[in-house]
Amino acid sequence: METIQTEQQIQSFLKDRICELLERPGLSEELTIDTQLSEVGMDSVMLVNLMVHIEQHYQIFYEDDELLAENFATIQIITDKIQEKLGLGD
Amino acid sequence: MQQIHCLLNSLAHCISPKADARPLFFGAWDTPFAVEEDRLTYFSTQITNETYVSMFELLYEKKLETWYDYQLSKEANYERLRNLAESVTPGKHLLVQLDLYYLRYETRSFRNIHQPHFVIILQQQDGKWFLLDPYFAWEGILTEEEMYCAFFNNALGGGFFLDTENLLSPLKNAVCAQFEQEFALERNQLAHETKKLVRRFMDEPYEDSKAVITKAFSQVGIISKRKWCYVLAFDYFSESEAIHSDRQGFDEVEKLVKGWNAFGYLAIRASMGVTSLDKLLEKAEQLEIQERQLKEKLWHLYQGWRRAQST
Repeated sequence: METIQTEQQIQSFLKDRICELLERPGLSEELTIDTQLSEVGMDSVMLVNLMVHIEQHYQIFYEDDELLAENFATIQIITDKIQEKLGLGD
Repeated sequence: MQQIHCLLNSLAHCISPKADARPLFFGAWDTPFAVEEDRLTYFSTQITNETYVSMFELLYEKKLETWYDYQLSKEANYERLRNLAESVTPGKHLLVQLDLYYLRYETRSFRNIHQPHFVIILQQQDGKWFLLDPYFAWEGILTEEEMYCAFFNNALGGGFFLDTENLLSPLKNAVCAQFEQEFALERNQLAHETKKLVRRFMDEPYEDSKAVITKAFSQVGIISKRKWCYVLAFDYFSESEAIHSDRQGFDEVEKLVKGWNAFGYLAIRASMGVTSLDKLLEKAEQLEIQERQLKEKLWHLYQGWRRAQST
């Protein structure tokens, strides 16, 4: 990565991808970092699409035991995991 | 209680205040499912609940009445349901299978996926159906229209009536008979059918492999929830004073269920070409070994429990 990704940049990236996957651009305004993604219509196929976007964009890789719905429940949880993988965690 | 199987969760809810419901789940880790049109499916006309009826009757020495009559029309069965709902009193329980597509409290399926699902009818009054769903931990009211749609549009159909008055916990002999009848060390239909399907996808590439592979394993998560039954068996057979509590069983079962959930995601990744089918097969083999080890441990625990009960 050429630039260090801030938490906000990651969250913004995730929000954009989620709205694209759901084909609901208007969702961006109501989607918060704590919104349960299953409640806005993200199904397992969309979640896997999101994982792949994340892996390609951040050049990280999810191990098998990380492929759990709970690790992709909200933007905040996904962001924390990305930061951890990028070595940017607390 | 964990989400395991909608019928068993409902029966356990009815039984629990009076008797130990755990033995009813023994063997449900291998509950049959169907393979239709190259996909695993937990519901099918090929699958009946007769095993659970006979298991219940063996364990509790009481009748589990099947009120739904497949020879009758939906209208006649609905009328039967309405009449039974009027006779529900404390200690009597009415179970019915509905289509989750029409149940608004289950947001994942509502107006999205048709799936048969058992619930408990508490009461019916003035066009309102008071419903309890132990599987989704929901209690509330359905309107007449919601109930009508959920009942009539359910592709399968089914219902039971249960009287828990004077119900007692199963005797040791009945538990042993049931456990030994259901327990099969080598049986693992989920791993077996999964591997078979993956191998087929490897040997005969499909034109629209993305959709086919995703659909094939879309119900793996629901089917694997039945593996939580092992926890109840570990819990039950650990209770003897002669045997120390075995919490390790829980961690291993959780790992198994989560492993199958991860398999579901891996299958979608495979359909997109970002994970190989070899890796998918490897995962299924790994989960099969995990479950085999779990079964060996449970069998060992059961034998200790049986010995302790005899002394």
